[in-house]
Amino acid sequence: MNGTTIFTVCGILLFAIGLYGALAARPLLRRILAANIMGNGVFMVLVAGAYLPADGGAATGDPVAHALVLTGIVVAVSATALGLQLVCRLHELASGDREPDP
Amino acid sequence: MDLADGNDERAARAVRVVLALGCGVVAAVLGWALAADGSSAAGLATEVRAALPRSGVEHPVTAVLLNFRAFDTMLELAVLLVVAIATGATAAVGQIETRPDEMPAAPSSPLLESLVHDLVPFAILVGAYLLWVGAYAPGGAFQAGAMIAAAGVLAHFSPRFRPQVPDRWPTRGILVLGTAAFAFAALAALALTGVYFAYPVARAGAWILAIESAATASVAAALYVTFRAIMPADRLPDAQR
Repeated sequence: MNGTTIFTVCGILLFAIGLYGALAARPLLRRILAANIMGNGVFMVLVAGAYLPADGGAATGDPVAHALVLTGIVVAVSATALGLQLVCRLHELASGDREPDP
Repeated sequence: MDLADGNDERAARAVRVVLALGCGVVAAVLGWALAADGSSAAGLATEVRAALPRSGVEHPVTAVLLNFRAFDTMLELAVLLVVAIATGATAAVGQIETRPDEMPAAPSSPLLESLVHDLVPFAILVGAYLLWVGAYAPGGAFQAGAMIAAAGVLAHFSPRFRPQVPDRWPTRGILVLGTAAFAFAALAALALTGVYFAYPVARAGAWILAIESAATASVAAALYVTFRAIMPADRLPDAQR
């Protein structure tokens, strides 16, 4: 049971928890958060998999996987922002009390 | 949608239990798949290390992002651009651009004012440092852009220092800048070396720094504009409503 295994298992658990939340939760905000938790689980698995035990020198990571996760974080943030904006808009239109246009 | 009945509630609970079990099965299958994966864990680290001297930077992640897999990063910037456009398109009119008649509301707490006053320039400086240090240490355009956008978000809460977003074209220009720089670099590299996205080896560092600077501006602008679109509209003081 080394560090990589622990992080991988935690990532998988995060993914499962997020999956359950995304499917079971009714409020849209909670679904967005759950999808984020899923994504974080995936990132965790990827980063844990990128860890390379020290071969001679210091321990390193696979830079391609790190770059993938970095890209993934930015895309996840963007998708979350878009989802939040759509939810905001939905509430605005549903509640009907839109602010008067200036 | 109607869960008022006891029956429906019981059914919903049953569905939730089934869902939880299903998610548990998914987790188990994933864990089994990863445990059974017998392929070597070497990844591409060796290849990256071998090609690093020709990439123009010393940090492998930056080399992957800006050189070896630059196409991915360009598309990533395009995603940011699309999100900024989409959130802006669904935002209320006048939500993003600073309007000429926009007046700061009542002054916020002096603590926030002084925090913004002292911290925002420092945060921008840290962003610039992150951009520069990306060549040989963890850092780069996205971290720098996120830092600068965070400075903008912090300043947004203080009416006195709220960033001015110019109308239309300047903002759009900054939003497009990163993607455009990437596309331009790809085409210029095609013209110079004959290979798409293959920068001239001798000057690769300068190319990467130029692209990263443009990308930093775009990332910061896209994140801040998106934040501004999502924020509740409090642009008019209550007295004017």
